Amino acid sequence: MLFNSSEFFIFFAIAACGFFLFGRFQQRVALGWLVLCSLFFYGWWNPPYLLLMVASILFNYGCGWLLYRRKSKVVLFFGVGLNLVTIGYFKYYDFFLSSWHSTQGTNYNLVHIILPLGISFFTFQQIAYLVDAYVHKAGERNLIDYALFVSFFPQLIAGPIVHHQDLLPQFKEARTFRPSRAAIYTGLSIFFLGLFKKVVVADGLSPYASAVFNHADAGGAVTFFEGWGGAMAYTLQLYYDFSGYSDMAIGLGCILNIRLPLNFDSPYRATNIIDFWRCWHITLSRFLRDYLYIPLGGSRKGSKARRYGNLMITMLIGGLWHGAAWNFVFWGGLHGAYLLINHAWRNAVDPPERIVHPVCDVLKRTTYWAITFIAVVIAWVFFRALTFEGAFAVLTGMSGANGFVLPDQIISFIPTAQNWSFLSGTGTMPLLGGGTVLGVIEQVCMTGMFLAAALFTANLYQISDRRRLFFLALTFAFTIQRVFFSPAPSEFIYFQF
Amino acid sequence: MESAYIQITAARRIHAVRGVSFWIAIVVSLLIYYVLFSMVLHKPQTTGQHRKLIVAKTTILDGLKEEPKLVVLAGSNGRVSHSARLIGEIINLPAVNMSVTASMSIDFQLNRIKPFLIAGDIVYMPLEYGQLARSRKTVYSGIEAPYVVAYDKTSLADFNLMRQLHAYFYFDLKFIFSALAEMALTEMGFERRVTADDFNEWGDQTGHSIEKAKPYANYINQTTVSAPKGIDTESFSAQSISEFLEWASEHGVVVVGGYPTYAEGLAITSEAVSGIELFYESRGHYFLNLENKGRYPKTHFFDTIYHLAEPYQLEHSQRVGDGLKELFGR
Repeated sequence: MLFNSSEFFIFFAIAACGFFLFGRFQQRVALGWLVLCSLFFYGWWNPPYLLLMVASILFNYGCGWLLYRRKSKVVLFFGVGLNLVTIGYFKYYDFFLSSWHSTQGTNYNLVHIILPLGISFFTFQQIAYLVDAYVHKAGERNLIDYALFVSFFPQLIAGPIVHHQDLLPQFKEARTFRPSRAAIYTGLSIFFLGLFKKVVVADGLSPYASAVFNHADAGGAVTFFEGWGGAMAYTLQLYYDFSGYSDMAIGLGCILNIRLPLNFDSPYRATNIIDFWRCWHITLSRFLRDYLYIPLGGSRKGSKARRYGNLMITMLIGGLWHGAAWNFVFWGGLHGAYLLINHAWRNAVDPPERIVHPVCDVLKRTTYWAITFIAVVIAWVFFRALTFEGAFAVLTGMSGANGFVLPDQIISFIPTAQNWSFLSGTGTMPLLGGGTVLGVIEQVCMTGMFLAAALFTANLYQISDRRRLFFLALTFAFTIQRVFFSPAPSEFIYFQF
Repeated sequence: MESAYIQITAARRIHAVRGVSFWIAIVVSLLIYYVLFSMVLHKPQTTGQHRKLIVAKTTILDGLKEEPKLVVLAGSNGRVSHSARLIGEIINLPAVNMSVTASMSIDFQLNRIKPFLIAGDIVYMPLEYGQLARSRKTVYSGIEAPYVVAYDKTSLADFNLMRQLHAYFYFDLKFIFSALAEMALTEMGFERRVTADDFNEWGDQTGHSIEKAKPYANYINQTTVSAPKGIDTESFSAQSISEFLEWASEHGVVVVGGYPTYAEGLAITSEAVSGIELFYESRGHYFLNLENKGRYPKTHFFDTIYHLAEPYQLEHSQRVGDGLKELFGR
């Protein structure tokens, strides 16, 4: 069930009403009701996989209970191991199989296992829980609370990745069960703004990106403006899609008096890659830091080479978490390399505390921002393309190696453009603006406007209620248009992870 | 009194939204949307051109309403790849090409021609394959929506409530940008490459020569031709066509289904063709089976793989005319 589908609105109204109704009399029943609703929400997509979810909850709850009673490495390794085997089978089996046979040069048939929705999210949450149970930082005795922590439907499928310390204590607070008009309307305003980001902005940009990347993956050549148009469209599509989903989850949580962690904090404003990762998919970064990077030794132990090695391993695994393909691993490695360069630069050349003249500071920050942003865009090309050939085709186009081509009619509108020898014209460019001149204008406006919004407007949680309502007044009708009056809704990009 | 702040995340408190303010924002949003798209913005270069075409073609049709005639009706392939003039000449009937664009819902187009049809008329419909399998939602979101909102309130009033809502909520954010661009271009005196003036007195597009097709050759060459699907008789659009066929039978109008033109590549399967044939023939009408199934080499096309350049428009129309002549023994 998608947040942008009509049936979800009905489902959520019933879930929320039931929760507060039961909560007036018996809080345990209200939580049980939310668990049932969450399982229904999950099962709506593929009922048989509900069994997997329930089995995963029961298994991890049992392991956590054992670990809390007795600190046992065997139980910990068994618990974490089985989680990894499960995700390995469902998500990575075909990937391992194809990679192995490619190295051996042998033939094989892929199994094509359907990826259970949200498996990466709920598996990571439960691994963190087991690790913390082992060191006695966690230990939920109530199965319903635990089941709700794992399956809470607003964040079940695409995050934020919730830490047990974020969620479990809230199930014991009396205020959680009392409906609050302020929370409901605040939550609704955030939900609808998140929905706007998804259905209007991300889905609106999606065709521009798909046209270019599909063409490149099929072996076609891409020119300069097409390449940048596609890459920029995807850069923004991914951000608005995923941050929109996170906003919707936070908004729904707010209606139900459940606080979820912030997942995005204007990442495209970052002036270096370290900051970018502090602001992009914050809950994944936190998980990777606490449960992978620090256990590996983090930044405090060992030589500089060891620390950098830890960072690179963390980013490679972070890349693989996003999808079972080498291009995701490469994307993670690329960001790992960016981070290493960033750390080395900071240590050797430009420590953050160095004071410079204000004008120089602005110039420096602008330059740093531009380098960071372009580096991120280039990395997204590998993230989006299905093949390395496709990614390199898009990057080749972006470099200008395939020429600078625009539709004739646009060139005729740019003063003196006919004299620019590097620019050539053509009749139709189907990869740009859907192949029409007005489509190009739409693409430029959509990309420019929402890039500006990502760079220059404060995020949803930093603005006043008045400004939030102002944005709601500007966007609500467009959101309704997309949800109820345009062809079928598309899926969220992060569902596949 | 509830708190003015909400703890929205573990680390952040934000100003709470009041219920009244929330509802005011919703109402204001809907009002802005309505005023913007129903009163302020319009697309003179596209919707305006559709209007010109519809008005001009309807005028031609109106002039022929008392006599038996041939009506060619499809999407843009009907307009660009078919010459009603030539087909009419071959079968010895006055003719009009009523085709505008495949993005315009088929039921809307059929309802527009019905009042002008009489017994003995032939309606030739080389409908694009996509038109044979559209859902209700897709049909309701056809390109006639901005046309009726901007220019044809009578047709809008004839729509059922759900379709009226779809028409009023047709406009997405991108529409603002392209509408502003079109309005500005029109102010500057800009004309589209193909305007309503590029049509002859039968409503056929003319002047799309091989010379003018050159800038599109590269694009057409690179376009992959996928195999068209057949008819989905359960779809809303097919049912609308079916209702029209019934109406035509009752009023003595003969309908002939036909192949739309498209570039050679993966061909429609014979099962899919049989399905379309059966659809027309089982309702007492005809399907014109051409040997080449409406397919031509890519070099014959103008600006897309569906639009034949003018010399091939005539070649294809000759084939269609000969086929109809044989079918009706005229």
